[in-house]
Amino acid sequence: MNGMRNSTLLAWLALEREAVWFYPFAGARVSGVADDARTAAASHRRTRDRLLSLVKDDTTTVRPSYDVGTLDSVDLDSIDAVSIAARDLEQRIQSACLAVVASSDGDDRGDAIAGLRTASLAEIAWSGEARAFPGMRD
Amino acid sequence: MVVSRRAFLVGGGGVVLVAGGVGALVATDRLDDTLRAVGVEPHPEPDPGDLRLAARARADTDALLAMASSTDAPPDVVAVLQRHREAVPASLMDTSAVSGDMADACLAVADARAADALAAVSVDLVQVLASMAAGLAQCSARVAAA
Repeated sequence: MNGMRNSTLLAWLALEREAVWFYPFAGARVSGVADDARTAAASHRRTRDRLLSLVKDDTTTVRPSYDVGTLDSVDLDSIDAVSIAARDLEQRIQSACLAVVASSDGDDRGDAIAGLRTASLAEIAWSGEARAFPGMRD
Repeated sequence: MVVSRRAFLVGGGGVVLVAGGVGALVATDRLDDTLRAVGVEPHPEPDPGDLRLAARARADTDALLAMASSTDAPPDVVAVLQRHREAVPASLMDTSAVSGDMADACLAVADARAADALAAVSVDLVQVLASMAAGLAQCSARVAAA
C-alpha cells in the first residue's frame, strides 16, 4: 500500500469516526436535530466501514481527533451551534477527501471524489452556503 | 492536509501561461535554453488532454453563468460560478452542452467535472476538478432548495 495513500485514508477514517461519535452526541443534546443527526450518523457509519475495508494496516492506532471530554466542552446547546459544528466537521472531511484524491488513483480516487461530494452536500444540509472549492483552503 | 486553492491557482495559472508561451518558444526550438538563460527551470509541457478538460470546464462554467443571470439563482451560487470562471483562463475555450433547469444543469456539470477529475493527469488539475464538482453539487442543492 502506498504510504501517502495510506496516511490520507487513515486521516479520512479518523474524521469519519469522529462523525460517528459526534452526530449521536449532538442529536442527544439538541432534540431539534435528532432526526437529521441520526441520518448523518448512519451515513458516516457506512463510510467508516467502507474505509475500514480499504485500510489494510492496523487501524487500532486511529483515534477520533476529539475525545469525549473535548466534545463535551463544545457548547452544543442549540440548533445553530450543532449546525456550525457539523459544517466544520464536514469541511474537515472534505479536506481529507481531497488529500486522498491527490494521493490515490483508480477506485480509491473515485471513492474520495464521491466522499468529497457527500461531505459537501452534508455541509449544505446543515444550513451551509455553496462554496467554490470545497476541500481547498480559501 | 488542507490544500491551498491559491497554490493551485498559481500553479494552474502557471501551467496555462507556460502553455501559452510554449507555442512561440517551441517554434524557435529554443524553449529549454531560453528558460534556463533567465534562471527558470523548464516546465513540463501540460498534457493536451488536461488542457481539453480545462477548456471544457471553462465552457460549462460560462454556460452556467449565463443561465444563472437569466434566473433567480442564489447569490452564493453566482459567486461560486464566478470564482470557477476566474480559475480557468478565457484562452481555453470549448463548447458546452449545458441545458435544462439550473439545478439539473449544475448537477450534470458536477458529474462531468467528477468524471474529468478521474481522467486528468496533473494532480493539481485532478484536485481542482474534483473540488469544482463538489462545489457545483452544492450549487445544485442550493438552487433546488431556493
